[in-house]
Amino acid sequence: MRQLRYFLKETLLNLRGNKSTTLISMATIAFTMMLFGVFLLLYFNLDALVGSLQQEIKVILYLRDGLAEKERVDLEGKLRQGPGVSNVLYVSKAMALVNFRRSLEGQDILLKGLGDNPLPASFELTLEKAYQSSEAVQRLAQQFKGLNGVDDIQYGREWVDNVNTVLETVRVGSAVIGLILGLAAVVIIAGTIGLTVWSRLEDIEVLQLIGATRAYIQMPFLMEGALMGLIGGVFAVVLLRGVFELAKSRLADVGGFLGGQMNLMFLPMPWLLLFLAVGVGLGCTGSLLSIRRLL
Amino acid sequence: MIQLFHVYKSYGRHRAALEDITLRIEKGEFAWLTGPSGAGKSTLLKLLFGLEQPDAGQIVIQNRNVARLKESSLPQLRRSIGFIFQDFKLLQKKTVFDNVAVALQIAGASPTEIRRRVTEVLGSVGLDHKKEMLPSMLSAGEQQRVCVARSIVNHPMILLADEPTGNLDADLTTEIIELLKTINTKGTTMLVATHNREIVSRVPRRVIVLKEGRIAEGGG
Repeated sequence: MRQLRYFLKETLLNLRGNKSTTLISMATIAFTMMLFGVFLLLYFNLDALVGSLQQEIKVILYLRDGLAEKERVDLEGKLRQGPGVSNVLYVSKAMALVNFRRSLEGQDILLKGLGDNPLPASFELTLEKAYQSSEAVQRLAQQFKGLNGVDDIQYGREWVDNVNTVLETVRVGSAVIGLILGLAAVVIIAGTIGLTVWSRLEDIEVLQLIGATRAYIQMPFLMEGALMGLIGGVFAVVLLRGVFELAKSRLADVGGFLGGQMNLMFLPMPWLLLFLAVGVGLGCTGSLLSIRRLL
Repeated sequence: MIQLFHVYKSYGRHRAALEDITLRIEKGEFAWLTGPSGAGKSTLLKLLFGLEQPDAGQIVIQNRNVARLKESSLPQLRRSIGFIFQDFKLLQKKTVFDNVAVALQIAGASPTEIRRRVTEVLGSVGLDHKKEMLPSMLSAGEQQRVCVARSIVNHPMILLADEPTGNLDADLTTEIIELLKTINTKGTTMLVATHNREIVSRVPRRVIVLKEGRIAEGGG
């Protein structure tokens, strides 16, 4: 505890000693971390979007025309007993037409010439959570295809797959860009700490001569890096919040699917804490690189 | 207390700094280490303080073989030996008080203990009234007194001094030598390197003379 107070005092002295370099370094760290944060935010929101889309996945089994009532009831029984299905809703041919008309309300012209009801009866299946991944949906669909009375199957897998592909790209992109920006931050911090170490080489020699251990000498520099990373991280979060609010208001202006459906969320507290921890980690790494080389 | 057995040290292949040094300095003794420039005085002190390693021979200080100490054990050795430098080696951005306190901080003393002992030692070297000043605001003699205060604040059993009056005028030299004598009367073993024959003759103690890296007088 006593030592900690001394280390903190020395750390603040170091920071004050190289005020302009420290400020420039922290600003750069804040900016690089903010860029990384933008990718993180994008990934977080796309991930949430995919999650909600997957929850809405319904598998629709279109039935063969002229299916006898008994066969329909048998099929429904099998579907209810089968794995992964949480709810089964029967939509008769008549109901399908009503729904269709409702969806095209105000555009009656499109419905002219429809003739007899061409729409098939169907079962709409809601899936249990464990069966909502695209692989599981595909597997279930294959099983249902072989059932008696099923003519065709439709599910929103392509949609989810597309978003998943985007998500995967953003994930890899975030990792690569995060790595590059992280390296940049480490180099910046190492350079700044290096300057402090250089400016204090005489003091360091004196401390060594009067019996200071390596850890005692290195600790203030390590804490300086950690503090720079932390403060840079905090500024990055503030900047990120600004970018987030701007993006949210722009999306609301755009409207449509993105504006209406995509409820943008800021990074939750555990993610923010992790983000700051990454800042501290980068700071420590930069410091260590510098002091290992110079001391 | 301090023993050297057949110690050799050279820099490069052809420059022998010390050759076959065997020496014993008793507990509480005050010894001068003299000789012309380049005789090996500073090298000998550096070996005792663990700043250099001997090429051959053994160096035993307080039952520890300094010649075989690992680098990680050096801080511990340096905390148990006080060292007075010719160029003072003070922390220029720290006050007189902090310059002395740092030796205790490194040793892990409590803030109360630090305050008490620093005040006491600064009083003994006559600098209590200048404890808030920076080294640059002090005279050379005062800076050397800060260095002395820092070297004795941990109550070391041994005090080494390398030309402690080398940068001082006659009056300040007397002042520092009197201070060293006082410290010695409290039981601290002293080895003081100087090329100034005049101060050696003023304070008659054992004199170890080095010439071209060998002991010419006062060994044993």
